[in-house]
Amino acid sequence: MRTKALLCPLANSKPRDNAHLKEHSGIVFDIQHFSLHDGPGVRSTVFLKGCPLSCRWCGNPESQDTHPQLMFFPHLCAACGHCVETCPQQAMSLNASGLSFNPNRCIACGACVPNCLRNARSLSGKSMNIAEISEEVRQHWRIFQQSGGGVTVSGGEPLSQKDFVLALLRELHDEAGLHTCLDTCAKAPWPVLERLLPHLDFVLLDIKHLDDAKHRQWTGSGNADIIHNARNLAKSTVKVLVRLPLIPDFNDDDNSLFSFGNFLQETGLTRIEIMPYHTLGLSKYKALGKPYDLPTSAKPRLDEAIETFQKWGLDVAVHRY
Amino acid sequence: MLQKLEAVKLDRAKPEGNGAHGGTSGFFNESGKLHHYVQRDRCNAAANAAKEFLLNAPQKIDTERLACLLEAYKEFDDEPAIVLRAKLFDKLLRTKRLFLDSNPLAGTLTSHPAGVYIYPEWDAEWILKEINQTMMSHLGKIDITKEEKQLMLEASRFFKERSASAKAKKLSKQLHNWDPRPFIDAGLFTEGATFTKGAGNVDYETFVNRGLAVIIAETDERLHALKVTAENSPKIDFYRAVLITLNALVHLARRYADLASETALATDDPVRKAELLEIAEVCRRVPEHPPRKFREAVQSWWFLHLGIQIEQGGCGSSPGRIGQYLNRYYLIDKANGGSPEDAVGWLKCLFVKILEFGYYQGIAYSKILSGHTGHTINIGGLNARGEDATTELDYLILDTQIDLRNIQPTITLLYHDKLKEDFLLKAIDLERTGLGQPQWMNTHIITERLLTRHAKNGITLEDARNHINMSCVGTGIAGKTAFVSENMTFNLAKCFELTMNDGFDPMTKKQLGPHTGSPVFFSDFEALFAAYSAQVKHLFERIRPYGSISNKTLGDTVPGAFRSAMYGGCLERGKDELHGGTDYYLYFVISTAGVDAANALAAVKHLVFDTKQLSMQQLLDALATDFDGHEDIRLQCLNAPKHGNGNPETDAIVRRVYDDAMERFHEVGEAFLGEHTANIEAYSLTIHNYFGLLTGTLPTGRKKGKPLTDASVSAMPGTDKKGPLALIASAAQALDTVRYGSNHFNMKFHPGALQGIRGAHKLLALIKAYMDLGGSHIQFNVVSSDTLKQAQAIPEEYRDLTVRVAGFSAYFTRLHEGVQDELIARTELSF
Repeated sequence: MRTKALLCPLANSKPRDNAHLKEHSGIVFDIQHFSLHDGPGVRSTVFLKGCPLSCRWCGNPESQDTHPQLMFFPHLCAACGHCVETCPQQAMSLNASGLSFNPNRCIACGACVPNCLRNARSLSGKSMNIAEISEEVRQHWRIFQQSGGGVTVSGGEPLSQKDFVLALLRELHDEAGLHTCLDTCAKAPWPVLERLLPHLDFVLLDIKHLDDAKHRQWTGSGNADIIHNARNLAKSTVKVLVRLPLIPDFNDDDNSLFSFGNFLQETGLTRIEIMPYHTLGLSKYKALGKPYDLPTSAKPRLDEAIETFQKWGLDVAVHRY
Repeated sequence: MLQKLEAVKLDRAKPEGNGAHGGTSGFFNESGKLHHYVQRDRCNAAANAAKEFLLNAPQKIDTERLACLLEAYKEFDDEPAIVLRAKLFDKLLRTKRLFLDSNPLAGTLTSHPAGVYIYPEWDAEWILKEINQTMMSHLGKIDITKEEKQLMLEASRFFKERSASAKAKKLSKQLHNWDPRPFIDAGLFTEGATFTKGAGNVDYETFVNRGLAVIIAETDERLHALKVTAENSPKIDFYRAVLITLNALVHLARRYADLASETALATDDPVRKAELLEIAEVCRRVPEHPPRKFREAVQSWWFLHLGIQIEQGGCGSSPGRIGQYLNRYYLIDKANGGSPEDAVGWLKCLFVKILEFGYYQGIAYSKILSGHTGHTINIGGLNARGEDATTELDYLILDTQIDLRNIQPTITLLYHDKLKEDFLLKAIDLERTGLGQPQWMNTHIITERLLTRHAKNGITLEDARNHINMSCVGTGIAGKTAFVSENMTFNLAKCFELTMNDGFDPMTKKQLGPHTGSPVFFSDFEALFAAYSAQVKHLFERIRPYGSISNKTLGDTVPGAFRSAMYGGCLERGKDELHGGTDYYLYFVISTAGVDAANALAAVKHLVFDTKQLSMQQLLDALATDFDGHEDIRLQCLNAPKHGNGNPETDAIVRRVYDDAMERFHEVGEAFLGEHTANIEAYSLTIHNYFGLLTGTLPTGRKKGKPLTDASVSAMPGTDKKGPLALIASAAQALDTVRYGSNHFNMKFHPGALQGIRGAHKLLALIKAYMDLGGSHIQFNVVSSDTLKQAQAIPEEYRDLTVRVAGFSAYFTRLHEGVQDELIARTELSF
């Protein structure tokens, strides 16, 4: 039997049955290829929508809500009025001062997007099944292999689509044989994270603050489960890189830095990357009609952070953009 | 000006630990020559001073050659063309005013720094037309005085009817009753006869190594071995001409030696005196005799190259694998106590000499090439046995360029999987300078291409492996391939424009193509494509025979004995390059705007035939008015499918456009000298700007007169929205990289992508992925802050520009203005 199969390998090969992969769908807001900063090597990053936190500095505000959202960039709009004609909800109207948009009426159906010739509109979030995502990222397997890269599942918070992310990682890691990475804030019960580990090679673990009250005040949620998960991840075999968004007046003071360094040293999560505060996402707040209440010109105390973490013996990198 | 160049600072040239002798005696070794490290500092200082000077100095037309030219054509007009041309060369080399500057490499193209020659023997029309307009070369504005203007006019009147280009037009009228001018004026093509061309890559290796004395003796023997018969007459003239030119170059070197000796006598500075005496010694030795050390080899190379440029300065004179054939001299120096830094010093002196080259051939030509001189140095690659050919000197070439950041010479890295990591990382260091160098070329594709192209010529695998980029991106066999253009370029976007107007050119208001019918009657995409293809075919039927005529008149009018002697094959055959002497020919024409034609076809297919968003008449009306009052249609056109997004359907149209051009081209059975089939190159230089000016509105969303797409497989600016991996996939398959002579691919990169060793590895992975897909050429524009500023000003042209930050994705143009400013500032800092 074996000899026969070797002689004629095509005789037994059938098109891969991927019907089950089409059943699982998730809400994706972007798939970025040639990602260079979200894990080792050249990667494709799948951004899933929805996040249990609402960090005040969040750079991807369109990722927070689980549902698709319409984004409108007024500075690209020429008030041509094509969107007004196509909107089934009459969310737009033209008046003397240009186009006015009523986000409360918008149901994010996306009908106006292809009609916007100036690309001032986009729909953030679309439903994709695992087969579609897998097909899109697998075409780059060669460069993943060349560069030691793979696929990163990011967000939002990927754990907020917990069953979908499990099925996705199982496909990418076990079936497609790709190096997988999860970019997570770890805000979920441990078992949700734990069951992903067999399908993961790398975790980018975002921790914002060790003080529960402060965490709650700035992200809308406490950190007990995050700390718990961090300790568990440290004990697991998966490689972890801790990423700290360094935010002025939130976590860049001496005390916060000291206790953060202490925590990482003590848990053995010794690789850390600092992500200095940036306001690149500002226009996206505007596009979503969301307020942004942090100062835009503030600079975090980067040098102090590096120094403190190095004193704790951590391997410190800074993401410079 | 000269004094400024002489004023080289000596403070870095202090001898090390040798103060006991006092004064300047510590500069010298026991034989009274400068210590190698003293000379090295002087080399570096001279190179930096020269670069500084060249970046600020205007180029100047040197009319000394014109005076000499007029005299020579009167004095020697009884000689056959090749001997006449050789005597002109000799006369110029014996009479041109020489000068020395602080560069210890002797020899300059013209009688003053940054001088350029003009060549009315090729074409005189432009001089008469443009004499009162501003002239620009690659180093900026060219100054001319009243007297020089007078001489230019005199020369151009003399050559008005005698130039190769005038003769070609006359012969075309007589043989085919066809005048190329309306086609040229409409931007359908540019001809090959009107301007000088570089020599590709001659066999410097043999000439440097053996020395001219031996070659002169051998040529003399060949001449005397010939029986005087009618059949041998051209050979006799060729050898006579070769002997005149080779002796002339030896004489020029001696004149430099004499000048250096005389200047030394008049110099009080003992250091400069010693330097000049050594220059004299070197110039008496080379290129007549074999070099004994690296410095002599570089000087020998430089004289030989100078000979080629003086005979006919033009774009595409490649030093080839100079780091490989001169490596032996570097190793000799190293064995005698020389250091890599010494060699870098000499390379810098050479590189600034190359940077100084220029020539001027009129406004159209300078728009086509922007004064580009195409001095391409090749590093890496394989040797004849298929092993990694990289030498230590190749590494030093990278070091030299990282330090100098010259726009000329340019570096091409011949890429294969056997290259060492440290070599590749050094190449990435050069990319990080933002210079756009090296260009990366795929060794395996080139080998396959040459084996195919020259199958009829009995090419060996060894020759095919010993290839180089010998011009801008044109490839050939090192030392054995002549660089001859059938015509210079043709414009596929213009063919599309004719298709949409039933063969009529709306820009020049002339019927230039066949009547292929009004597009409103095209029933489907196939009908449109057939009409387009017929326009392309018609163009080739006109211009290809004209290319053969051009090269006949060039051969009759301006054959070059000096460069011919230096190609593999010409001395053995007794024939010059234009009469079939060279072993191999890169006989080419450059295809441009293929991507624009394909995008235009794809847009019409999508908007008119597939989605029926527009009627053909609506589209034609919008094109006729340059989208004036049809802004929506322009945006629809701009948003239609475009090359570069990994979209199989659009990719197939791009490939079809290139395959079709190749097929239509070869249906016209022209060949150089009836033997060498022309090869289509596909690249742009700055031709996309020039043809852009002459090409009307396209359904790609591009307005009339705007630049066409650069390179040959790049995406139209701002339309590759799916990221680098989709772009390389589209680019690698856009044309058959083996059958086409080139696939020219420019890719934009944000400097953030190149940070650290990991950034370098990722870029190398991208390059390998592209090569594995069959790509043959790629170069990177590390996006500068200027690009970002442009993107801020004209967002619609830069919609593809992504900002790549961890965990964050955004298009640059969608960022808030303040944030854009911040990124611009950061980008400036990172350079």
